Amino acid sequence: MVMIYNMKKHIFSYYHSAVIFLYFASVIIFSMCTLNPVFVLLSFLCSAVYLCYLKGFKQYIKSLWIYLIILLIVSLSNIIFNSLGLTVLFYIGDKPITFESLIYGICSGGMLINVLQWFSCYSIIMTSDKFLSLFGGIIPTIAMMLSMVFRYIPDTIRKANQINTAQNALLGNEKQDKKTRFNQGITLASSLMEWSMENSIETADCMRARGYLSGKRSHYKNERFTLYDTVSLIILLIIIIINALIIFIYANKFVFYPVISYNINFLWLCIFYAILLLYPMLLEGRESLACLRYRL
Amino acid sequence: MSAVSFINYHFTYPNASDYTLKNINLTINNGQYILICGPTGSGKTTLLRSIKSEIAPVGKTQGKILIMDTNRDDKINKKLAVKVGYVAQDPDNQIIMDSVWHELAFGLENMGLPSHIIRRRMAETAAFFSIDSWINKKTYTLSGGQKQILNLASVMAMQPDILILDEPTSQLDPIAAKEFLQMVKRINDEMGITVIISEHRFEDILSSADRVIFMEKGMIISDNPPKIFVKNLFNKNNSFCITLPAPIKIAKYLGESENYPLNVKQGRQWLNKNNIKLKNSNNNIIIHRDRKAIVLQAKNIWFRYDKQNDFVLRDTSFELYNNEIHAIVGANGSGKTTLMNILCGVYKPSRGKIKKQSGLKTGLLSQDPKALFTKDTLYEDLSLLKDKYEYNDNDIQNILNKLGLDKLSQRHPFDLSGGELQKAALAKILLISPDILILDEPTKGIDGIYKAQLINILKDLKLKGKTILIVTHDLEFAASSSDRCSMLFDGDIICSDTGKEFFSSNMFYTTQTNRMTRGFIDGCIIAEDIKHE
Repeated sequence: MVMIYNMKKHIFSYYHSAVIFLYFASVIIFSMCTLNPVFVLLSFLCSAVYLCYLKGFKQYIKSLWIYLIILLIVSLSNIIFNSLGLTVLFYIGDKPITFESLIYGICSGGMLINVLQWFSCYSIIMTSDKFLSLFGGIIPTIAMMLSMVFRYIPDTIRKANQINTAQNALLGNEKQDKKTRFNQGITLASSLMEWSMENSIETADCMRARGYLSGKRSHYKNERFTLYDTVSLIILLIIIIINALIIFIYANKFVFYPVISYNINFLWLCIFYAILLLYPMLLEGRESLACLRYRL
Repeated sequence: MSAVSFINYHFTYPNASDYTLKNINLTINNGQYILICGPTGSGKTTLLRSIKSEIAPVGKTQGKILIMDTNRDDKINKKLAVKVGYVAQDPDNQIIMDSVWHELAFGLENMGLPSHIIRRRMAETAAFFSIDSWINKKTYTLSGGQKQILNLASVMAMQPDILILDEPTSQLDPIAAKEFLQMVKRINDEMGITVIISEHRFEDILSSADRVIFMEKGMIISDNPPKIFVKNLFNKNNSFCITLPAPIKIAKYLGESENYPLNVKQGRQWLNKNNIKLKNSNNNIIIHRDRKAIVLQAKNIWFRYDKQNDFVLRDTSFELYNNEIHAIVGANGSGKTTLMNILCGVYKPSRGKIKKQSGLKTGLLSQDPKALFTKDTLYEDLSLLKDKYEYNDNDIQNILNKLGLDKLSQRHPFDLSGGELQKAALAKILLISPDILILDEPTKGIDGIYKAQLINILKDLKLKGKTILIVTHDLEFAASSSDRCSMLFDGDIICSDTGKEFFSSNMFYTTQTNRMTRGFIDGCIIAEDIKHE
């Protein structure tokens, strides 16, 4: 069963889908654009914190081992297939295993994990509803069809259950052999199809009765762009530009091969990166402070 | 200006030999509340759908229909979709979108309205129908009653002048149905919108309708205010009389022939005025039951669907005795259907035990008969289990004749009307002939004539030694059919009593007869109990 997370808890999900989309797009793209170990580590920590916040610590730990396996595979394959770098740790057969390729492997594995983690945050906050309201305006017919599909799927599952229970119950739930059960499955599928088709005729009638195809359709957006969305959008845009400059001008100067060399004098700039990554968490913090005074 | 007028209208379905609608002449004025009634298959739905050009049945027509004084079929008249709102029977199939707000917006989007006007209309409508608390929900999480209110609201958001409802409450439980009909009444009262409704549930609607149009075999037999309609129906001794609400039947029995009381309030006033000495012919027989006669027993059942949810049943115990008709009543969501499914073994309880007398077979007839049919014709479907349950073509034919389904045996089950389908499902379980028959909401969507027939069938089965368990919302039906009644509340059986005892000790949860005669004469449950002294 799909876990349904309590959306109401997260302040970020109240923001306009454009703001949410901009945030995740920038965070994911930046995570993909740099292999700088400091930035990769930062992205990992921030995404882990946010994911813990959204899913709960236990749920996060459960999914962590998959990430660790990915990390292991990526860094091992880099060590084995890549023998650039000068600091040799040891040899396997004739092959030198270097420190640089180990770090490079961990960083690229970490990058992959970060993208995955950010995507899981994205899928919790950016629901299908939000996605549709953001992009539905571009292709309204498809948005409408998707909305119909989203109604249709749970409805059909419920009907399948209903048919199954009803038919079992009619015969007092007698034990049946495999062959009858198999046949029953086929009849279930066919009667589900028939039922759905029958119902869709009625639905089509109802659509026409409510004036579908009677003229040009407009597209209603349930979301409004509020003052806070504007403020957030501006803040986000500014941080994104700053970070783009930092990442492409400074962070990507990190050199792995042949020896790791890096100018650490400007490392404090990664604070801006942290601000961007933690933006939703900062909003949550602000929200908790605002609510604090109503607590006993 | 009249809202709707039919002028010499005839209608024939393709391939049908006879008229479905015959010589309809009808004028409905603006702001009227019109009830259309008649036995199943009298052409009510065809008549109602004919008013709305988008969904009007296709076939041969004669005469014409005017909507707001313009011809229905005028091609120029595209705005008619907006003028006439239509709500059908099935709450599920009319929902189009996945979320409530989108469903409300759907019709308005079709009208091409800009977002800010849609938002405003949505807000207004949501407030009027008090759906604002669930406007952000997904539509598949709603209850049947909520779905139907949403359908009504989405139609009303388009601001129609005429509202057409085709048996809108037949799939709802009585509480939800009352709520829905009150909404419809409000729409008519507060906004003066013309309402044309066909409905089985007379007791909630008869006293508020302006006119009652009675149809039979595609013709309009009478078109009168409710009181005159009732009087004429009795004068003609029409078989449809049986479907009238209890206060009317009681007054008729006690000698009224002019001014019939239409609801409980009027009934009490009528009793007060006429001051008739009454007698209760209902002898409360106390039946002592032997514990050995228990055929099916649930002992301290606990049940829930999954660990995240609350328990649906909490420590429920229940006994079903041999050869009795037992009714379980209770509100929606009190766990009735769940208990049924546990009793016949489809669900396994989390805790507790089900004991069944060995060798007895159970069979449950589920609420939605559509779930039971898998073949292309009714006859084929009924013969499906022929070998396994040892019945033959003769038995099928007998049962079809008995239930009046013989003419429909070659139809596709899904082409049957709601009531016919319910009968067909009953035929199916009667052929399998289990020792313990469990019926879940057998009166859903059926009219009073079939209801009376069903009571006879059940009593007949009891004589043949079967044990019957009914789950129902329909208190009138429970009172007139059952030997014992139980009430399920909040996951537990609160009380079990012999039927008469059960209803006469309740004040709210009881039949119309009991509510009407309380204080005048106690202990009367169904109209037949009341006698002259």
